[in-house]
Amino acid sequence: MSAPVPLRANPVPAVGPSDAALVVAARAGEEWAFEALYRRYADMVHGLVFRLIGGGSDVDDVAQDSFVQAFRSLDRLEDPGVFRAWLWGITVRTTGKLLRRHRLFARLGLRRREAPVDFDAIVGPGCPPDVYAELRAIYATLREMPADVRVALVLRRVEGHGLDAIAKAMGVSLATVKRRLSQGDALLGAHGAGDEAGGP
Amino acid sequence: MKTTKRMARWIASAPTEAQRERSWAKIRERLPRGAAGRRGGPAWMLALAAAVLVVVVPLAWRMRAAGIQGATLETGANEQETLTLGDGTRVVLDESTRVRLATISPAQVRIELERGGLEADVIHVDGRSFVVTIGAVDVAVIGTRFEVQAEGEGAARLVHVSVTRGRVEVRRNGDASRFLAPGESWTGPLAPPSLAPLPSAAPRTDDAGAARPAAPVAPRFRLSREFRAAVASGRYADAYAELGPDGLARAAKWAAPTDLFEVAQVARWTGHTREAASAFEALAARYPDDGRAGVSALELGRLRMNDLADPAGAVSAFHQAMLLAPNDAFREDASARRVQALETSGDLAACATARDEYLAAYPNGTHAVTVARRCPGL
Repeated sequence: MSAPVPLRANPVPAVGPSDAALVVAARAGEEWAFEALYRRYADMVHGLVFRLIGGGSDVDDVAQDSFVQAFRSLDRLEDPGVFRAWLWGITVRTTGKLLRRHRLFARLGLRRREAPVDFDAIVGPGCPPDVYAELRAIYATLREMPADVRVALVLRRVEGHGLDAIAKAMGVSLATVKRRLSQGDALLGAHGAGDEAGGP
Repeated sequence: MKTTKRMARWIASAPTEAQRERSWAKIRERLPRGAAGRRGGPAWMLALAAAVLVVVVPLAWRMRAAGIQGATLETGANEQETLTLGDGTRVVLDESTRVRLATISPAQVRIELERGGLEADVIHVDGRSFVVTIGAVDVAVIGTRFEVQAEGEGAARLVHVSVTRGRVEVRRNGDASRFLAPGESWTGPLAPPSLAPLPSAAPRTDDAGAARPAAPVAPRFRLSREFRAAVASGRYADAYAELGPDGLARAAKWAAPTDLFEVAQVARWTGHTREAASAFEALAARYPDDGRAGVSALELGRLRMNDLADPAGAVSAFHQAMLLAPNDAFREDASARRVQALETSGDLAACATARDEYLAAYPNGTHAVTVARRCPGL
């Protein structure tokens, strides 16, 4: 059981141990299983953190913290088969926590206010102009938003997740998610961006 | 709404191979101790430091009191937060806790506990009061170390206060104040009606008026802050010592499943194999419906098999793990280990039966190749 298994750098191999099998092995202390889970989901976690934060030097640290938090909590995962969704939720909450902390520290004068997101540095080449315009408006406004509003807005408008999934990941009610999205839309509207994100 | 799934791909960021390797190396250092040589030491301390929210309040008082006043701090499952005031007062928020910093001023610190629990180690400052408010109950402290917990739901919610050092005054709307000394605790309803507090199992001196004939609160076993801090920083021997001579026995009898599992893990990591086995056994027996029960039975089997030279006991534990398994993948793992234990115990007939059952249930299972080689000749 302790022999290393061949690993692929990129996620979700067509064959290989299921997430559930890897989780069981990881719970039993097999390091190769932790590594396999990391390599399978590194892109997903890194990408999500990158979009929630808008790039920057914290991305790697938050992605690592998300994995560590997940690996340390594996015993609490009742169904190992849903590891992916579970890790996604942990990543959302870990990133939200960092954003809340930064905002609080900035309010206390213990940290500089967040610099604007350098959108042209994070957007990929060939982005269609309408998508470019909308994303640019979102990222230009993000730092003005409370952390929880920001997370909800990115999950909805950039990641494209449903309200239920967002509520579950953030650990809040559907009504709270809708309220946060309304707040986000209002801030976007004040900055001249569209308001078509909101409803279910 | 636009097809926003397509929007994420324009800001898709994948780590480079070099980033991936660096990140894995860092995560590996912080893996749970069961993996690859039980890691501890500086990396864990850094992890703890990164996870802890430290608000330096003197600055807030002098410069930006309005900035922190009214702030809400919240911890999620499996998280703790530490709020450190400038005078050294520390407030540790338990997991799933929410507090509001209602008043932060040179004359008063008032923290409203909305959910969960906290442990406070308060430094006395002349002219300043330190109060934790929970519902209609105020806990006022002077140079004290104490814990406050909200328990239960709705109208039946209780507040539990226990004092480690110093002296605490508990006030509730309409009731006379009561004072708690070190070693004393108090449990009472959270709501303001004139119900007398429930008797606590812990020693008390000033229980006058607590005559309500209610079921006694079970003796509580709570892991100390020192235990949790030691675990978080990888000092497992210190954590085990913190349990005290009868700590493990008390945990096995009284601890909640979360704490009992933590105690079992620490016992295992510090080489107290028999004690770890007894804690895992207690958890699986006392909390068969808990999500950790199956894992505990599996760990019990592994300890008996690998460390205690008790393959027959391991067979029993793995069988229990199969019954308590939270899902099929777990059940498969326990089933394969049971085959191995039966082979080691010398009961080859039972081994062959278990092997065939495994292969019938999981012909393409993770352990199928290994299991097929078990119990040779039968």
